[in-house]
Amino acid sequence: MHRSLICFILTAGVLLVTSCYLPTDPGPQPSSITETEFRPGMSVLGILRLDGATGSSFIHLTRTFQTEETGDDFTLTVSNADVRVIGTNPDFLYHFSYIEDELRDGIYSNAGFVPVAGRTYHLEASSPEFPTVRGSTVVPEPPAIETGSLTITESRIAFTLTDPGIRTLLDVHLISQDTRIEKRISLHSGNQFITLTIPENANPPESLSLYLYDRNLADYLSSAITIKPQAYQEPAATVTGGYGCFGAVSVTTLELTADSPPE
Amino acid sequence: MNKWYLWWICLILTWSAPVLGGTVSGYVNNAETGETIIGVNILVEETEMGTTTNQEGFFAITSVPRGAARIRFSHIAFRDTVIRLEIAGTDEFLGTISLTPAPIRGEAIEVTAARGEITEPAMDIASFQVSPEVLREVPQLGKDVFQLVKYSPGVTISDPLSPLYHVRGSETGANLVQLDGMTIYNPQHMLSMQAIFNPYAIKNVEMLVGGFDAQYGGRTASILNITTREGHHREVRGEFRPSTGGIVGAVEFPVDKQSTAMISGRVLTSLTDYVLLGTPNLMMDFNGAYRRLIGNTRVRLSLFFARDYIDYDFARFGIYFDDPIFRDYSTGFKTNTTNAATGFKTRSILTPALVLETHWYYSAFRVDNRNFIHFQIEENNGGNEILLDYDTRVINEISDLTGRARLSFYTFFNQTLQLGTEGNFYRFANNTGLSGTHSDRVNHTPNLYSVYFQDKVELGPILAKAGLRFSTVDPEHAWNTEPRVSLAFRLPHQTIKFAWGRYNQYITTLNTQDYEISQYLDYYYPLRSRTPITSTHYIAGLEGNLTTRIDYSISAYYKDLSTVYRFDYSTVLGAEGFEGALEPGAGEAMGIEFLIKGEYGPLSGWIGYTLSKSIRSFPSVMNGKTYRFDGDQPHNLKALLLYQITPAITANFTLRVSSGFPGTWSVGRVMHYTYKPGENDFGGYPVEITPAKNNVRYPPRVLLDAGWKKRLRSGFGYHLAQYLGSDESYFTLSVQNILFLYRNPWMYVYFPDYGYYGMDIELVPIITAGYSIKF
Repeated sequence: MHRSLICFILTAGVLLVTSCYLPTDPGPQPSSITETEFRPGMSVLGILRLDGATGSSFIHLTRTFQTEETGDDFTLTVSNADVRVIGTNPDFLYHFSYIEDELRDGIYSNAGFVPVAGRTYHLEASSPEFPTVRGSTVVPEPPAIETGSLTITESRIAFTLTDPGIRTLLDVHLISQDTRIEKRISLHSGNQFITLTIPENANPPESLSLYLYDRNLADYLSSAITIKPQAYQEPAATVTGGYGCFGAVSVTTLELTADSPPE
Repeated sequence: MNKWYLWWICLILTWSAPVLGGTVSGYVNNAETGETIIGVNILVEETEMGTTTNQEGFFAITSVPRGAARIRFSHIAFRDTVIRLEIAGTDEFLGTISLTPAPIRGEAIEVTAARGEITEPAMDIASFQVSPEVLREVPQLGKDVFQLVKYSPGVTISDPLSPLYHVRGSETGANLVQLDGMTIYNPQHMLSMQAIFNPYAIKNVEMLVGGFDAQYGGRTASILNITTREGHHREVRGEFRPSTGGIVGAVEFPVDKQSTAMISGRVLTSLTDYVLLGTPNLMMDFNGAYRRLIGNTRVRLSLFFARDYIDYDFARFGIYFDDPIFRDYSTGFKTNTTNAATGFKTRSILTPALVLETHWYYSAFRVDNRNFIHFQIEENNGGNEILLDYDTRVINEISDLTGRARLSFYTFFNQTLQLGTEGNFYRFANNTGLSGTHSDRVNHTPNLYSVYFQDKVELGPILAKAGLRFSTVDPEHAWNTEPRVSLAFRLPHQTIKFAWGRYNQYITTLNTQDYEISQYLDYYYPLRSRTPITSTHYIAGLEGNLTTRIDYSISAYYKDLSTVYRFDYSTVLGAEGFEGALEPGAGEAMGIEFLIKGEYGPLSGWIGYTLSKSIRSFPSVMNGKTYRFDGDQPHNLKALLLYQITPAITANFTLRVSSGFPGTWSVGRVMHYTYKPGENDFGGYPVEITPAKNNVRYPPRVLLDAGWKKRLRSGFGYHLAQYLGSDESYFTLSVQNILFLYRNPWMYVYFPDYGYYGMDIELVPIITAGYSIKF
């Protein structure tokens, strides 16, 4: 073998051995980190839901946490907060109490609360350990379909949504026995024509639900997050004193039967 | 335009040439192939008058004294040629001078080492020229121009998965790439990160990283000029390389006595990914050039096309594994790009001292890029669901119809006066999406108009260049002025250079690096009604010879980035759209670069070290506080070395040692929610809290590659080549990432009870063997 090739292989071998991190090693760590302070706070998902039922609105509270926090006692939910929702015109205070929910943690609810379309509500969530979180929302009018515009064929459903009055977000769910088709649409001002495609061989649709979000939820649900570690981002928030969103959603559900209209 | 400049132009044009002798001009080409030769030294013997051929192989020496003159043409790869002339005081056009190739030891190494002699060393304040032979001699570069660019001084990267690069602390979109003068948008293939230019077709690569002339507009950081071959004027020549990954081929040939053509192409695919992983993938590119001589006019038609497609979906693994993970977890990406350009260029010698160039081209690019990741984990103890539904999509189209004209006048004091005009007629379309929500499609059709004046004067040891470029987006807007000045003092063994210039850019790129899983491409958006991106460069340099075969250069720069833009993906879907998502800011970049290049015995190549800093500030980021730029890597050591072991065997090494990338270290996490309206339920995903951007520096990065190239003189490969009619065949071997056990962290992932684990994407060495035939 050529002498130079031997020298090359030996040199490469020495370099390889002297610069070794095994796959199980954590590897070289950053030597300089400009430290910034961790500040405890709360993150809220507050949904005022106008859907014809009582008590469907909820406020969910969790806390921020440091990456290294672990252990059996680790919990994110905040269960000792004082949560108030204040309606305006007329002013009325609604207390939301912590409930033990088998399916969901950290839920505050008011069984008799029904939001009113067009009314403004303010949130105030306070806890001794965290800064108070505040937010405001206006409950949108339930979404409406222009009379006579709904058409259903084997392959699609179409309708015209009347002007919601704000530039916001709409979720459309079309449900049949075996399928659920979901579509999210950014709405402009003015009436908007909407279509959904029905897959081949799907059962006929049984119901059509429209979920119209307020400005806060529209911004929050369409905000980008980054899942890449060590990437800068400003967490989306429509509240002050913390993170998360306090918003409202209005729901309209149409039952689609055999007599439902038509093409 | 400044009246003083107009007066100066008129004076020069009406009082010139016959006073001080004549201008001698012409072309120089390779007698064997007919290709014009760049960088030929031309000297009027017994005088100090001389010049070198430019990118077109053209030269002009002004003020050649009356009487007999001997003009010597010399180039390391060709035999010297001397022409005797009788200068009568008028200008002389010599037509085309043909040089005969000279056999040299280790052709590419000699060419590489002598680069200092065959560039125009005095004038280009900050340029880096490389013979494409280097691409062929260093197999670990993969014959890729952009791999080579990464070894240039002043170039850094911020994402090892991305082919995009930063030059002297500027954004990736501030780099202009031109193929035969045509602007190419996103000139790299997806994933492989290779340039979309077939290396066989490349004749010359020149990179200007500062101090560029007024003829260059529209970008603020760098100009990468790639010139393609013109075609062999006597016989059919080419290259053909079939492999399991695809087919690469090129052929150049004479069409008739006055014209030649070159066609090259590559079609590459990964059969493994296609068959085993069910991932359709395709990379292809095509280059064509046709050159014709009509009297004293050279006409060139260029064609270019590239296509990338890949559709990866983790769910396809489900055919091999019956596991519920495929229901709860999905990830993938799908990218579709098309790139095309066609251009028609003329170069007419109106008089020996007056040259008119025109160029029309159409360049277009389209991309539809989608990345997604979705998973959900139900908590068994009745807690909340962990839910991530992340789906980004970016669609971008740009088309560019450009017309240019330039008049060059060669006159006394070795002066070159240029007057030019350019019109760019653009069409843009942009659209983004996130998890099912899409922004409105936005269309723009801005036009950019430019006029420029450039003067170059040589007075003894002093060379001076002054230029002025006027540009505007639509004439209703104000015209912006871009002055450019360069000065060089030639001392006996050194040259001292200075440059100052202002550069405007009317197209920005949308940085989605923090939102897309990896950003492989630039997305273009016009700054029609906004302040253009503006950068002012201050450069000083010193160049000289350490020995007759080793050159050095030291270059210091400062860039005032008075206007830059950042793109906020999270606001583009809101009411303000793209215009609201673009935020202006400012920055600075500075550095000092050291470079040694040349030949020492059998060793040749270059070693460079850069010390630099680049910062930015935007009002909405940390309330306007400055932070490290994403491409900021203070220390950069790069080396590309070739070692001639025997006349037939070359070994080569490439080394990059650099500071680590800046990153943002979080202080904690907070839940970000996804709402499910049908169930009136929700899920959450912990996202990082990052009060300070780029507040951490990763550990240094070290990358070492090596290669081996042998010209075959016996054996099966040699005889096969002979059978196919070729007298040149090569075997190559390369090992990339020799130090694969040295971790170059790209990101850190936290594991409970373990800590932070540095993830490296360069996990294993890549060993590649190849065989090629030249005919």
